[in-house]
Formats: sequence, structure tokens, C-alpha cells
Amino acid sequence: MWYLSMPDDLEVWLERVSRLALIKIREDEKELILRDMRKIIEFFNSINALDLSDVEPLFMVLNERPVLRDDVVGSCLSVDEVLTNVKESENYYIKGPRTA
Amino acid sequence: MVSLKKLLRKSALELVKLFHSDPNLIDEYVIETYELIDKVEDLIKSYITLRPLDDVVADCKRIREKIKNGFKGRLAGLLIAVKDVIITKNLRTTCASKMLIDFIPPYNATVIERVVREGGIIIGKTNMDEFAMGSTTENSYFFPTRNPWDLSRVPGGSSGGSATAISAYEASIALGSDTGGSVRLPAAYTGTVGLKPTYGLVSRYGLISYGTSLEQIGPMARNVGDLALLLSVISGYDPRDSTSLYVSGVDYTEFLKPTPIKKYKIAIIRECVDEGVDKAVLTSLNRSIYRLESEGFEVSEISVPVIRYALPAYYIIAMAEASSNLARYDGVRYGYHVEVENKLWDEVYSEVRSSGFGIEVKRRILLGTFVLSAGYYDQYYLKASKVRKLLHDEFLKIFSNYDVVLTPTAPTLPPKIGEVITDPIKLYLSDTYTTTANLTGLPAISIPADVVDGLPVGIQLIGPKLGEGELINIAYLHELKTGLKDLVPTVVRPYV
Amino acid sequence: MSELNVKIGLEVHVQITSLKTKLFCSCPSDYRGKPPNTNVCPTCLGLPGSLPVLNVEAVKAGLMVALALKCTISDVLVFSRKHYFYPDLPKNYQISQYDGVGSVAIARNGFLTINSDGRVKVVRIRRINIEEDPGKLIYPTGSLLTSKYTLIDYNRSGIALLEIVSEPDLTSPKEARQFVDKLRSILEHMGLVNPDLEGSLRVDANISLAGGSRVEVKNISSSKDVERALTYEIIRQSKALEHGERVKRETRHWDDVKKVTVPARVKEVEEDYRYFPDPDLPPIKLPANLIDEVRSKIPELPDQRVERFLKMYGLSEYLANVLVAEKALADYYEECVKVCGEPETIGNIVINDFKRWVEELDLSIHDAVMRLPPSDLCQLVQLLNKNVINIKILKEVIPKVLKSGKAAATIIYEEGYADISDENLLMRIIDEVIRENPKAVKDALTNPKAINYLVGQVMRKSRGRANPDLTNRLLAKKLSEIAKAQDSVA
Repeated sequence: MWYLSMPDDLEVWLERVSRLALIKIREDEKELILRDMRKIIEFFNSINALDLSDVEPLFMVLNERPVLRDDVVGSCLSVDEVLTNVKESENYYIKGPRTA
Repeated sequence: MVSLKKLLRKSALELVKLFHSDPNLIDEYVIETYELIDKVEDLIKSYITLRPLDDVVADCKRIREKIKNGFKGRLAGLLIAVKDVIITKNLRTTCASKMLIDFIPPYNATVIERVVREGGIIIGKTNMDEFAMGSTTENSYFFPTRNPWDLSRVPGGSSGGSATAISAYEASIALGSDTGGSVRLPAAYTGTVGLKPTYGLVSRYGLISYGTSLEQIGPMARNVGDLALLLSVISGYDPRDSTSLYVSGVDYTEFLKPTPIKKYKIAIIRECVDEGVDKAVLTSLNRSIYRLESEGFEVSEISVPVIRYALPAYYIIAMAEASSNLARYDGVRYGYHVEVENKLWDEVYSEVRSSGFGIEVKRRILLGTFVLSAGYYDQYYLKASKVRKLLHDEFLKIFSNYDVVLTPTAPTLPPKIGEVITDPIKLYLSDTYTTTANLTGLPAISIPADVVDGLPVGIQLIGPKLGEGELINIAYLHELKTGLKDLVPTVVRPYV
Repeated sequence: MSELNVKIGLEVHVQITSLKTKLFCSCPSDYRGKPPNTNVCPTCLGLPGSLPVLNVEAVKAGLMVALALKCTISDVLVFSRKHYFYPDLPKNYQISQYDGVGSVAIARNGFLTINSDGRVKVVRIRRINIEEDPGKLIYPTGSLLTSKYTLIDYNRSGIALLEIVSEPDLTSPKEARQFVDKLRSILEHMGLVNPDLEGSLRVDANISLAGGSRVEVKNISSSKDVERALTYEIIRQSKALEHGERVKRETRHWDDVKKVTVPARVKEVEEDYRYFPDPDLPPIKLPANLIDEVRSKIPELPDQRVERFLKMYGLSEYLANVLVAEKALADYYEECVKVCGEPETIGNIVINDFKRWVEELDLSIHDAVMRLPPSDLCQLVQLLNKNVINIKILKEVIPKVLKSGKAAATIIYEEGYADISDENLLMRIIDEVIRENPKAVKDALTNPKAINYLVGQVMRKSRGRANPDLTNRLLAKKLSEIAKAQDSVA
């Protein structure tokens, strides 16, 4: 049985993935998350028992009749509807964080 | 005087007929329901948001007037519980998450539009596992939902609240969503009926996405007939959903025939019954096999070795899609918010996403990000998609020889609260039999097979693509034989 | 240049401005000038539960461009999600395309040609993608660096873009400019892009010197700026190399105010877009009959038009190429020739005078054509031919027309360039006088002597240059026409 390699240092792994996903793991959650990660990744690795070299991936079943939209204008949301759930706005703009 | 209790005990099909001829009964039915909710809801906690009685009474009035003017909506007057993962216009939709704790959508899901157009009344939004990630409804930000058959046990998930709402007569029918078994599992644990339709049969427009290529909104009811009614209303082509199938206008109640449409050939998958199944579940399955054979159906055993890989493949794909679908939650346009001034975007987003998501959601997003990341995409996501292809092709073969596949819905009886939630793998194993249908896009229904020691057991029937009619036919016949319909769980019994 | 071994590749993003709606939703595509966040819907705002549905015309536009650039077209159209977090991206992923397993650009391996130093040079096209535009970020203080927060407008979010990527075949900033100009002209001729619309064309340039690291320069919005930015980079990088420094691989931004490139923020983590096929958008087959249908609708493209100009109008290659480089200019030219012939003369005037002044006055060709329509230009040429005006006067009149917005005829008589015995010119003045003096016209219809007042007005307007006899005659004729018309109405 060939299992592919597990990320060696799970803490480093967690750092990297947290940054990619922009999710901070609090110190008190870290242990809980890490404890199960190894088990779960091994659980994922079980699919390696199959010989998949000649198999094409299936991402979605092709729809025989594709759903396409005609280039016809429809209705928009009103700006009030847009801003209903916005916590910080200014003159109809939505306030966002700095980018530099 | 007709006993007030009697109305809410009736099936949805019966109620609609009644309301068409006497719309004044709608109010009585609604009040009965709210009185029952008063008594049991604090114990069960099906609802995150329950609409005030006054609002619902106003809806009743509108529908009453319409009926008097000739309206014959197929769901006229029925109270419908909607899983809080489905968008309802101007009615808070939370996904049981702190991230959306105050989200008020400005639009309606297609299924809601269809239900309301037929006269259905949304009574409230039901509890669920946060962002549909879980199998017990213990992962809700708000509170866990309890099984009305035994309050120390889980109702299953992630559509737990929808299942308990109908099981406890807090609504007549319900909508749930099923990504890896989330409609079927709670149906089995609560003695109700739940269907995951063929992928693309029911519009996903307005379904808050978790596992896009796997999930469907599913009808849930206390009996097969009501489920067929609801399915007929919500199914069909929607131009707002690119994955929607070009199918429309099927009336699934036509399959509620007391005689079989054909002599069904039923397959049992050996790998689903040989290990890891509770004895009680196995016994119930065998009894169902016996019932089906006595209908004149042929039941055979087949081997599908690749099915052992369905569960890990499912979780890889589901988590990958989840990590992508949940990327949008950053607090800027909606949801849990962190003040933005003088902070960089990755700082703000990290804070929002760390505080807004619960731990299981975080775990799945991290894993999903991992399996899509550079260097790992081929080993995980790509490989899982190949397993998917194998399963898909395997089932095509199976359905060229058989009409339907029969499995238990769940490997165990409903677990106790806290029993599986602490061990993720144990939690994932609840989905052992259900994920195949999501991976292959095939329809699958869970129906009550037994009540063992006061706990419901369900069996699952999987059909070929767009085989809902046949599933409903077999399920109906099975229901006639067992009489297991409109069950009344322990907690509710004193009040109905 | 060649010792430096300059290699340039371009990524051009164009909005398909001919579409009426966005790429994946039916919000209107004309978002410019609208108040913020008034041109959005659940889909382009990325609300939970929303879904994308592909615009069929966008597919056809993509195919048309692919055919015009002689690309190989995919059998299947597949979209991928490109993940990164940024405030202008509502879903924190962009629906795009990617060359990788399970996904493929709509077209690959094409080319276009440019005229480089008198030779025809082939520039290869690596791929063409269809993707969605993000929203717009505004900085409250006006500057990215001093603003404490950003203001986001999602009106543009979801607009259809074509990304056209070249191979690094370009070897000078000038060639890069020519590439962008040629591409723009092709897209204009197909009616798919109106480059006058702000933000409809954006370029990212990749440049490396002497086999060194590749520097990416983003955010360039015109072909001229492409040339400027790359020229700047070559100087900057050469200087670094001269001082023995290594040029590091980085991303820079073009500051079109200061006209320099500046380093972009360094990211700690290497960008990992985690592409995978978008499960909301099933793959779409691109059948041969659809491609044929699109092919049959391709209008005349720039190269063909140049060929035709050479044949039909006997123009030089240089003239033909300059005209065709901007579709609106070539259209104007052909309209003029249709009205009065004289292709060579008109060609020279359009390029040496019309185009020259349009650029100098920073007008859009559209506005310039409004001010000096083909009929008016032809009138000038006719006056030239009749020796009523000479070439020097023509060269003075044109800029005055374009600057002031007044009609050519008005300029001529106001500035006293000619005796006005040209009937058409005179009729214009007469029409103006009639319009401006309704009471006098009424009088003149009943009292023939009152026509003198009107004659006087014509004289005044033309500063005494109008031919009196002709004026009288034409006025009388016009008045009788008016009288007849009134009778028939009564």
C-alpha cells in the first residue's frame, strides 16, 4: 500500500493553510483542531488504495441542454436593499478595509 | 364540535383538500400548531426563527380570500418549515451561524417562490448544523435540536430542525438540504420521510452553498404522499440555476398507487451490510426486504467494492467546495462585521472569519483549502473526482440490471447527544450510506422501516437518474405494508 | 535594444462593451456614471445563495475574437474559480478560466500581425479567457496610501471581460504599443469593444531584460502608456544592471500621473489561486455549427480593410494603415469618399488635418465627426476645387471648426474667408436667418418689400460677403416654398 506523505509538521501546515483561507485559529482551539487533523488526512489518504491511473475525473455531469441566458436586461436590487445588511457605508459606497 | 386536535394530525394532502372547500379551517389549524409549539418547542428547539402568530394569521387571511375567489393552490394553507440554509426574503436567514446572525436577504429562493405561489405559508426557519456541516444538528451556533423520540438523543443532521418540526407536528411539511445525507439521515432518526432529488431536479437558486456539486434541496414529510406533493411543487427547470435540468410539470402524486407500476428488481449492496452496522438496523433492513419480496419484487445481493471509498471522496470534494463557497464571508457586504478603519483587508477578514465561524466549519474550510492547494490538488481533489467517476459508472451499470438499490439509511440508531460530535471521523461515518447518492447525483429516499426500543430506524432507496417516480411508488407500497406513516414521537404524544 | 534581449508579453483585459448585460447576471452593462451600488443584483454582489448564468452573447463574442485571432477553439467551455481575497471581489473568487486539468481557455495558439519597422511581424497569442470584472475601489482621500479605508462600488462587478494573453514575442515598447493598437482595432471592427469607454481596456505587461527576472507591470490603460511604462522599465532595469544589481522578480504598478512604475505590496505567502472547475457552471459544448454561425457573422477586419483600401482607393500602405488603425476614423474616411469621391485628397486631409487636430485637441473621433460631418468636409473640398478657398485656408478652417464646434460654413463666412456665392453655403445662412426671424418672415410673406429686412440680416451675418443678387433670388424662392407649404396645410 502506498500512502502519500502527510505534511510533516502540522503546526507549520496549519499556519500556511490559515493564511491562505484567512482564518485565524485561536490558541485554545489549536489543540483541538490539530489533534483530529492527522486522523482526517489519513482518512482522506485511504482513497490511494485505488488504482486511478486510467480514470478520467468527473467534476460534473454534462447537462445535455446547457442553461444559457439571453442578453436581455433584468432588474437590479435597489440601493436600500443592497445596504440593508451593510454595517459600514458612506454615500452609498460600501466601506471596506485598506488595501495598502 | 370537531376535536381541535384532529386538524394538525391530518396529512398535507388531506388538509389542502379540506382547505379548498372550507378555507376557514386554516386559522384553526394554524392556532392548533402554535399551541403545540408552545408546549414542545422548548424541549425540542426545532426553530431558529419562528414567525409571530399575527404575521402568519395575516397570511392565512390572504389565502382564505384567494381560495374564496377560486384559488386552488396545491399547498394552500399548509404550514411549511424551512431549513435556515434556504434564502427567504425579508426573513432572517442565518445558516445557524454567528456569521449570518442578522442577515436579512433581499430576495427569495426559487423553491420559496414556488411554495408561496401555491399557497404555502412559511412558519419559520429551522435549526441545522452550521452551514450544513454536520450530521447531528449539534453544530448550530444557537443550540442543539433534540430528537422528539428521545430528548437525550440527536435528531440527525444537518436538516435536524426541519425533521423535528414535522416529526413533532410543528409544521406539516418541510424543506431541508442534502449534501451528504442531510435530509435522509434526520428523516431516518425521526421516523419521517426525506428525499434527496436527482441533482438538478430542484433549483439551487437561493440555497446557501456548501457542497455545490453534491447538494439538493429536499422535501421532508411525515408520509410519502405529502412528500410527493411537495416535490411536485418545488421541482422543475429554473433558468436562474445553470445546473438545473430541463424537466418540468411532473406530478409525483400520480405514483401513489396501491399497486406497483412494475415488478421491481431490488439490489442490496453487500458492502453496506457486512460490517459497521448495528444489529437493530440490520434486523429492520431484513424485515423490509421481506416486505418487499412479499410484494413480488426480486431482491438480490450485489458487490460494489468501490463504495468503500465514497465517504472519503465525498468529504474531500465537499470540503474543497465548502472552502470556496465560504470564502465570500468577510463581513463587508453582510454578516458578522469588524470595523474596517485603519486595518488591512487580510487582517479584517481573518478576524471576521475567525470569530464568525464555529470550529467544525473552520476545520472543513482549512481542510478544503488544503486539498485544493498547489501540490495537493492532484493527490486529493483530482483523485476524489476520479473515485466519483468510478462510482458514477458503477451505478450506471447497476441500474441497467436493477431498478432500485436498498441500503440502511444510517449505520446506527440515533446517537446520544455529545456521543459523536467529539470525534470527527465518527461523525463522518454517519454518512456512510448516504454520500454515494450525492456523489453520483442520483435520487435517494429514506423511509421509516421500524421503531426499535422507541427509536425510529430508516431504510434508503436509491434510484436511477430522474427515477423519483419509481422511488415514490415503492416507498408508498412499503408504507402501506408497514403502516409507518404520520408517526407520533414520545414527547409529542400527550399534546396531539 | 537587441543587446538588451528585451522580452515582452502582454495580458490585455477588454470589456465586451457590446453586451447589454453582465457576464453571469442580467444587470445592465452600462454602469458608468451610475450612483454607487445601484447596478447590482444578488449574483454580482455575491450574496449567499446566488448563482451565475452565462450570457450567450458573451460566448459568441469570445468565439468571434478567437476566430479573428486564428486560435484553436476548445471543444468545451469550462469556467474555473480563481481564489484570492480582496475587497473588490464579492465572492473572494473570480469566475475565470484556467489552463489545467478539467479546465481550459476558450481558445489557444493564435496570432496577430503588426508592422514592425516596415516588416510584418507575427505575435503569437497564447490564450483567450472569458472572465468577470471585479468592482471598483475608491480612496476617500484620493490616494491609496493616505486613505484609512476604501469605498467600494460593485456596479462594475460581473462585467464580461476577455483576457487575451500574448507570448513574449514582443521585443520593444513600440511593438507592445502596436500590438495593443492592432488588437484594439480588431475588436473595434468586430463591434465588440468601444475603447472610448473609460476602463474598457487594461493591460498588464511582463518584461525581462537579458534573460533576467520577469517584472510584471499592472494597471496600464492605454497603448501609449504601455509604451511609456515599458520604456521606463527598460531604463530602470538597465540602470540596475549597470550597477551590478540583480533585477528581482516582482509586480509593479504603473502610476499614470507620475509616469513611473512603483513596486506593489510584497506578499508574504506566494499567491495560490487554488483553481478548480466552477461547479455552478456545467461545461458547455462548443459545437461546430455554433462556431460556423459566428464565423459567418465576422465583419471586415482591419487587415482585410487595409487591403480593400489599397485596391479601392489607391491609397499608400502607410495611409491605409493609419486610417484603419482606428475604426471610427476609417469609417469617417469612407463616408467622406462616398459623398464626394476624391479618395486620395480626402485621405490626406483626414490624416494630416482631421486626425492631427483631433489628437491635439484631445477630442473623441465621435465628437469631431459631429462637428465636421462628411458633408461639411466635402463642402470644403469642393470649395477648394472651385478655388473659392485655398489649401492654406482649409488647413485653418478645420481646427477652428473642431475647436469651436461651429459649422464649417459659419467659420468661413464669419472669418471672412470667401465671398459667399456658393449656393449651398448661402442657403445655410438664409435658413438660419429665417429661423431666427419668424416675425419678419411672416411680414415678408404678405408684404414683398419686407424681404429687404431679411436680406439685410443675411448681409449682416455674412459680414457683407454674401452675393446680393443671389441672396435675393434664394430668399424669394425660399419664401415662396414656405407660402406653398402653409397653403397646403391650411
